[in-house]
Amino acid sequence: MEGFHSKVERIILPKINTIVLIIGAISFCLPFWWLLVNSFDEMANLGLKLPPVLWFREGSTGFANFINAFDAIPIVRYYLNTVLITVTVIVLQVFNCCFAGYAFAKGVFPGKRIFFILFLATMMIPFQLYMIPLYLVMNETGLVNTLFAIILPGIHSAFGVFLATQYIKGLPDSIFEAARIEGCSEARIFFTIVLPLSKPVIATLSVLTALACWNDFLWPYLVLLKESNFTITVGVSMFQQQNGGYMGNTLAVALLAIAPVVILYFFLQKFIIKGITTGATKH
Amino acid sequence: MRPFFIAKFAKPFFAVMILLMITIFVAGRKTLRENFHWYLFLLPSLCIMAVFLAYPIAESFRLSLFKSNGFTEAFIGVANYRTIIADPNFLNSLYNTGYIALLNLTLGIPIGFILASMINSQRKVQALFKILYFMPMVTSVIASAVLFKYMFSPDMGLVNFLLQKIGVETANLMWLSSPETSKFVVIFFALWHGTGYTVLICLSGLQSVPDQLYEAASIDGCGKIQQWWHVTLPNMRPTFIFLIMTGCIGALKRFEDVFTFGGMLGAPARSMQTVVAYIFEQAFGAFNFGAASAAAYILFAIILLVTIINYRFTMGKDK
Repeated sequence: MEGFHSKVERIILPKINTIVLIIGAISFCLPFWWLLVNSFDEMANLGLKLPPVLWFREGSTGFANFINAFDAIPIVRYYLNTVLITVTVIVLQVFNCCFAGYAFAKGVFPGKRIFFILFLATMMIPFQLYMIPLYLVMNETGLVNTLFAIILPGIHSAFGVFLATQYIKGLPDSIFEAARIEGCSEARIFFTIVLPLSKPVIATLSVLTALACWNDFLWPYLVLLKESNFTITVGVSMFQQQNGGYMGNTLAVALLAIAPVVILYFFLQKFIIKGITTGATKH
Repeated sequence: MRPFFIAKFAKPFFAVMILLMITIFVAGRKTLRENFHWYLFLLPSLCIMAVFLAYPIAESFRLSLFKSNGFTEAFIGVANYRTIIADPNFLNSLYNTGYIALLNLTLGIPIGFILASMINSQRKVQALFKILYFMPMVTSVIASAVLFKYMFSPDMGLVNFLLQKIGVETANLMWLSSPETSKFVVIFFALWHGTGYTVLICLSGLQSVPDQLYEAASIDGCGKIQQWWHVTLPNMRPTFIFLIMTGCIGALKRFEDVFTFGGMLGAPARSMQTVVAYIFEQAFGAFNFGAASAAAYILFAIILLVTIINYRFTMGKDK
């Protein structure tokens, strides 16, 4: 004896729900599909006013756009630079954030609260506030146009320190006390106890840093002036500015920048989604 | 590398050391000797912060009081701030930033929340939808903005093609080529790129609503939609505040997509120039470092204001 209302809610609502979600998902993925189709479409370069395609155009599908792109710019070099920056920053940042996180979580020293608040406060400061003097510093020290200009400021992350502190705080104090009674030095405690136990937070931090590094644009665009030093995002932007008329080639370059992240994302999605959620909700 | 490479870093480095020593002095020497090693754990962070954060922030403030192009400098007091506030281009960039932020947030958060509620009520394929909606977020803003630039191209683009298919007159829809419509492309892009994040945060908020509340509501005879309205929505308040806050701050820093769509001037007719693009134009287009720093400080003040207002909101609720 159920009323009309509850019948609607039980039977029809879930169906509408699913249909809306599927339409939404299609419209979210459509740009990716269009990118894939057009970057393989050799006619996309001609600037003809052809109707856009949603399926691989017969007769003109091939790798020509990619070959053009590889001939025009050193994409492999861009990849290498980006990977080099990302890996270095991740390794250094993880160590550094765990260092500071351990001190804030388990350390007893005068000024701890003040330092911690100082660290947190820097999270609010937008990069744009200090990018000009930072550029001038890099310019005067001769680091402009080297990858160090991106790696060095990337070592410290206030947000990373915060995440590490929150996590290490949750580790039981008894382990550390036991280790100290055994005569273990703090440095040894850090490397043999804290680091191995902090694997989850290290994973989260690495994922967030990797995404941020790979997709970073403004700072690399400012300090990397030589083509051989470009990262992939800078490369895409420069290529678009110079060869924007060739839609096929430009889309091929854009695909090359997007594809590795998306492929990695499909393999590591659980990880990435979890990392982003914890990163956001720990605030 | 030029000579005096190290010397340039010395100033900020010594500043940190002095700061440390003051702390140590204030705290007293005895406790220090026992706890000195903890400072060593903080040392790398402090050094990086001093050289690449504290010093540039202070230097930025100094620059904002000078007329500077990187070679010559002259002290002019607050004249930079006065010029910036009176500059119609700056006001225009503020307007653009606010316009894009407002539409993006008022559309993005409800859409994201509704999608998240729908995904949450799905049993089997929850993960798949989550993955698909979040996918745009992991791609670089630059590369996907390039993609959108072509998608919204008036005669070769996908959007006008699809609109024609469903019978919309597109002859006047120039999208990025016309100042009237260019902002909407940015908003569409921001929605596409950012809604996955909203969905994800809303989902984790939804899953933290206690089940007992729903049980109680259904015992009282609430239907699914009523439950959503009376139980879910009020309990999502902290999530919404977080999303509004991060959304506002992110929107104030908007640069990469508008830069790809219309360069640092936000062409056509500065219709897309955001505050950060304005700072960029002043600094690296006009080499007016003083004015750019002043504009950056104004942006910082706005961000601080937004943060404080949001913080007050959360604190007020907790009491």
